[in-house]
Amino acid sequence: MTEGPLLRVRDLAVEFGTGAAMTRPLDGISFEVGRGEVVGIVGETGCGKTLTGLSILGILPAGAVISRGSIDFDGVDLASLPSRELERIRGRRIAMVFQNPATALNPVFTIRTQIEHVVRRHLELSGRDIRDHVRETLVSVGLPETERVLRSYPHQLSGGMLQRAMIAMALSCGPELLIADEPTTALDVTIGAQVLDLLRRLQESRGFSVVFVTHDLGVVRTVTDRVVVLYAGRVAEEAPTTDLLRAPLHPYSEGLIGAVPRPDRRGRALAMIPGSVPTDPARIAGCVFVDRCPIVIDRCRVERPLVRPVGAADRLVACHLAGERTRRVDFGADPGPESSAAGGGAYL
Amino acid sequence: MSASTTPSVPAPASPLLRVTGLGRDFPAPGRSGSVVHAVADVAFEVREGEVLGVVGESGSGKTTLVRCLLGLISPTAGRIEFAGVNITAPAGPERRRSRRDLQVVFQDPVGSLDPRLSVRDLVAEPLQTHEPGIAIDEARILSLLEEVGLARIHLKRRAHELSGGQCQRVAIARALALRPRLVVLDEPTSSLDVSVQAQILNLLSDLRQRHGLSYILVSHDLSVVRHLTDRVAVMYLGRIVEEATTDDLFAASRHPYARALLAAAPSVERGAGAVLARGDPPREGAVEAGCPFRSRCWLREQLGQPEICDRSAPPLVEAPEGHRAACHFSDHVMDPVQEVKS
Amino acid sequence: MSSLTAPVPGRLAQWRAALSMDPLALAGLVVVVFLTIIAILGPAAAPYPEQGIGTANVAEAASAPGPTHLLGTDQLGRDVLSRIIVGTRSALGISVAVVALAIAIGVPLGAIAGYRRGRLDAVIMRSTDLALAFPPLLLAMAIVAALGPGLEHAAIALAISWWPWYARLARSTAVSLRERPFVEAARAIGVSDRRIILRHIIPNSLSPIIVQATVDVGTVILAAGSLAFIGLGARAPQADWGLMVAEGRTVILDQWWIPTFPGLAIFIAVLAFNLLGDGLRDRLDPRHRR
Repeated sequence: MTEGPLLRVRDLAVEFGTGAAMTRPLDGISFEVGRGEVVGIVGETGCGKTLTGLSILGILPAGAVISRGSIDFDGVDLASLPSRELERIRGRRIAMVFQNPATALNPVFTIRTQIEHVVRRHLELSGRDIRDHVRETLVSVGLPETERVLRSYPHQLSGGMLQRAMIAMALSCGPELLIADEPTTALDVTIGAQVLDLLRRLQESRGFSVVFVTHDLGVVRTVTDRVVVLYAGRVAEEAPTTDLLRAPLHPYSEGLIGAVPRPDRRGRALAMIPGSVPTDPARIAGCVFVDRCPIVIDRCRVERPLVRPVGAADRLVACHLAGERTRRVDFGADPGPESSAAGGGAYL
Repeated sequence: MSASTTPSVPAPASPLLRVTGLGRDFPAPGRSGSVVHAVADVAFEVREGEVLGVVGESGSGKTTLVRCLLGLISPTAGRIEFAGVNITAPAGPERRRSRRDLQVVFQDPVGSLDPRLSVRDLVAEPLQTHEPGIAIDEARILSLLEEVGLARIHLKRRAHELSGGQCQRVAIARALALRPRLVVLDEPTSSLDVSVQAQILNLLSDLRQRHGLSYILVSHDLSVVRHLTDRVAVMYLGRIVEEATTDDLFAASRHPYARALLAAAPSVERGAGAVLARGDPPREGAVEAGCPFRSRCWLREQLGQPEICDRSAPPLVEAPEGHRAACHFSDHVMDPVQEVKS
Repeated sequence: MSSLTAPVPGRLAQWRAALSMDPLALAGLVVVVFLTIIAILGPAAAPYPEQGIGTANVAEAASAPGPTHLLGTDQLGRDVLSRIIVGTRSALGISVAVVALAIAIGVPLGAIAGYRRGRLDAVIMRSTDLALAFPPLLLAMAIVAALGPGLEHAAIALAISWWPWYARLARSTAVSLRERPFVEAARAIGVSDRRIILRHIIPNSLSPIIVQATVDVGTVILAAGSLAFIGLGARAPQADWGLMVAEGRTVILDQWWIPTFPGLAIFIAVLAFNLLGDGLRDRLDPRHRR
């Protein structure tokens, strides 16, 4: 094992198509995931968060290519690794949990067959050992009635059970990195809480790292240590979770957090980010948030803001004005009576 | 129209909507003769200008309830009264007349607009339906669009040329076209991004104030429900298990399921709380007797599995200030938020 | 029927874009357009219009393909090419008429059945079963026996055995459309069933119907040809592809060109409509569209 972070994504860009039809849904993403760390990738639809997860696993959709950058996983660059070697890592050292377990599992095989398949491919076990290993994995994810679940086909299990089976499958070969793409979004609130709780406990006991892709800031708050906020395929801001939620530095993060309904904002106007995500960010010379940002200066239109530390070493922001302004951005939110007393600084 | 453009004066005697003993059964899959009670014995009222939240997870019956309220399916039991008129039968003349006053915004903003019609035609549709023979007033369509934050340039667009948020605005304009008194909002923001959700929530608040509208907000998202509602009914397996003012419910819920739900929702302020409700809800129709929540109830475990929970379904009992809860031990339910924080 | 079959504005550009990507469908389109132009021009496009219509020219009977008669002449000395060209109008005309009639009967019935469900659905769908169970040739013979032979009567017979397919197609799309939120939304607003079917269900069912209709125009050419072949369709001296094959079949060994070229015309037309239909299916199918 080498020293340093487990995963180091540098200047990652993904492109679809060529020439005039080319789009670049990811453009210069950089972030790191430490050993045993849970990093959230947040953003809204189309910001590139799912694509980021897929590029790490090397399972990009058809037509997409990594056009720039590197994905350093424990000293190996996944972006330039031959697919056969990547397959040895995928499922074994890096595993993934998807948003919809019902479609991610094969409907014609039992849970046992599917998990055994993964174990047989990656671990040097045979016969009884495989069966025992699979059963142990299932027990460790807290599934009751292990035998029944193993015998079941996906459609015979509830959404929560399926997602736990998926987690068991992902963890069956003891991965060092788990990529979780909205694993609770399709589940009911009480079931989603069980799955989040399970993931959190397993992560704590086994110490693997997690890249947690989500749109839900409440989930971010619950499970992540650090957050990367994506906007239009670029990193807008990166910070420790509590710092980001308390005092976002990028206007987009600020708008996003201000848009969440909260008890203290009850009945008051929420922050509204005007306009919509640009359809073709690759053609924008300056900051991609420029059309929706209330505090634009001339420089924003011509010069792309680079991600830089502001204030503290672990607070990274891609905004020309970060660190220079003291006031919040006005997204039309009704500040309410008590926030003026608080000086307009803290968010939580 | 002119009479109904101004919010009507609330009639204190009768509520705008009164639902009593509402039930809807469906044939149980695979078992002939037996039925699933998708909604059972649901009763509530919505007063003029009030926003009632209906919260529940899948299988709670909230979708079936909405479909009964809108007259898309007929209930198998109970009664729905709108402004004192019985509109229970989906095909009755009373129901037809009430449709002007009782409108809906659905969850799927793009899907709930006919992909082949322009925004103009979509907004004109309710007018054509309820004022047949009267020429469409184009200025009125435009002003409806402006009211929901759209403009003239959107008139000729179709659903696929609009964003999800814009589609939901069109759906709201359609609902508003007839100047209704009550709008059922069925998960109006759950397929939208947070920032777009904020726009729609702000819009809904504005419209409510401007027109004195009442809403029934059906949602699984507690933060949205808390933001917009005055009162909340929590449903579990087809029944209302708790109903209270929004403040009361969030501060001092009296039902273990509602507690579990509140504790489970990940919130930005405090993250997710404890997992109180374990396991899955029983499969449809599995609850024969006793409390429907007992298989997952944390309180029942704490109290040493009291036998009454298996024996009888707790009635929805009214406590002070209209706080209703269907639990034999609602006095034992503790404050979930504090419990969770520790 | 034009209101039902006419492509919706805005789709045209989509079609063009779709077809330009698939060379086979494009070839189909070119042939279909070509055949349509010939059908419109009729005898005017034929080198020997009079012979095309049916005037005999016994002096040149059964001459092999050559410079004066590119595809040769038949036993009555009529130019085969001219006969084929003149026959295009009846081939296409009858097909389009049959398909239009089948759509006019089938689509509304299917849409009503699929949207309303219940007993009405059962009645309509059982009657399609009945109609489909009846052998089409037997039906054609019965109709011809009752009304006398002729192209129009063959067309009626074909339409009667064709509409159930459209009823089934329209029903299956209506059943799925019925559950779509926008139909539910229209019901919640209070839009009448009649209006929902006319304004929401049928217009949104059109894509698969247009695809099916395109393929069917080709298939009906084939079917009408078969009817003519067995003497239940067009009658001499009308220029009709099927009839020409029938008339030439006895001399196929000596004057092969007399039945072969009309047969080839049927083959090319059917193939073209099929290719075009498949191309349209790939693009217009709702599952492939956003």
